Amino acid sequence: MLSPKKVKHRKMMKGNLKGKAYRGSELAFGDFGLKAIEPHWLTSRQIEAGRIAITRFVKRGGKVWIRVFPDKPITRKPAETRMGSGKGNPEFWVAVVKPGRIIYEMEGVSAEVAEEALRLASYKMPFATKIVKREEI
Amino acid sequence: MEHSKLKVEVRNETGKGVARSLRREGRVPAVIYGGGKTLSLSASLKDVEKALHTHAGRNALFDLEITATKGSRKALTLVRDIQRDPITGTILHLDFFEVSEKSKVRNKVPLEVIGDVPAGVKKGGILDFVMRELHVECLSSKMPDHIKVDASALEINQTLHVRDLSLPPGVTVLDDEGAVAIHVIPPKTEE
Repeated sequence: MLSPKKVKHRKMMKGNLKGKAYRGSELAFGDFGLKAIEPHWLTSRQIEAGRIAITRFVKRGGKVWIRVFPDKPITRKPAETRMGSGKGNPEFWVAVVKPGRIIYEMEGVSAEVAEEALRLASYKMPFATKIVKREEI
Repeated sequence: MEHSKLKVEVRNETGKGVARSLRREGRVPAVIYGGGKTLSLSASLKDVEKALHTHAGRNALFDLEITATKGSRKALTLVRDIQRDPITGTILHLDFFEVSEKSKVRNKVPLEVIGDVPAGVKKGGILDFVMRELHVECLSSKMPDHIKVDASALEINQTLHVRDLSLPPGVTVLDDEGAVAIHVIPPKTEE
């Protein structure tokens, strides 16, 4: 699963998910992509589940790019703990996804195969998505 | 090179409020620069999309008919930038760069693979575009819509460099000549 090798600060504030993704919103590498159309946190497990769904369907051939990286640590307090006594422990990593962000890109497969693979990956995502194709303009 | 025609109007008001009201009316805010004075413009979204949906796409030369309150003039332009909504893909703003037929301009031109399917792809390889566009310089009248690349002879692990591409006469490449443009990579198997 994806996670940073080292970080400057172990814990992070929650932040917000306002606005649209004006960067990372166009296809940069492949011919097909999966685009988020809702804001959400995407965990490293969900990213991995989507990637596995794509590679299992494609079987042979095709190249996949993951366009998001989970660099935000999320903390949780242990169960049955009284409130207070500081912030909890980092438990997992998420990528902050804003509407318009491309999550995966694919190349080297037919349009039908790419669409089906991305459709299967979309079921692993916690938000609504759409499949985008490279156009001439 | 293809020429697309487009009617645009000069707008004197600027800012996000004006831009938003223009978009509500079905128009697109735009700007023209490169030919002296920079002007804020607006164009019909329908006309813009129609003009961009030619074979040349955004690399066509645009003959703009600029209408102002004092009169109108024509300008030969290239589309320098298109801003789109990240979710819907609708055009939010256009940048036009004014050129003259006799001056040299720099532009990014997309690569277009022609001919048969590459030999390596028939054997299961993947055609990988390292470059999708080539940065070129030439006279604006000779700016190609696409740069045609014949990759039919490429085997697995073979590469086409920028120096291998055949360019139309009068076109010079600004990218590194030794850079890889296209290669065929071996297939990846399911882990």
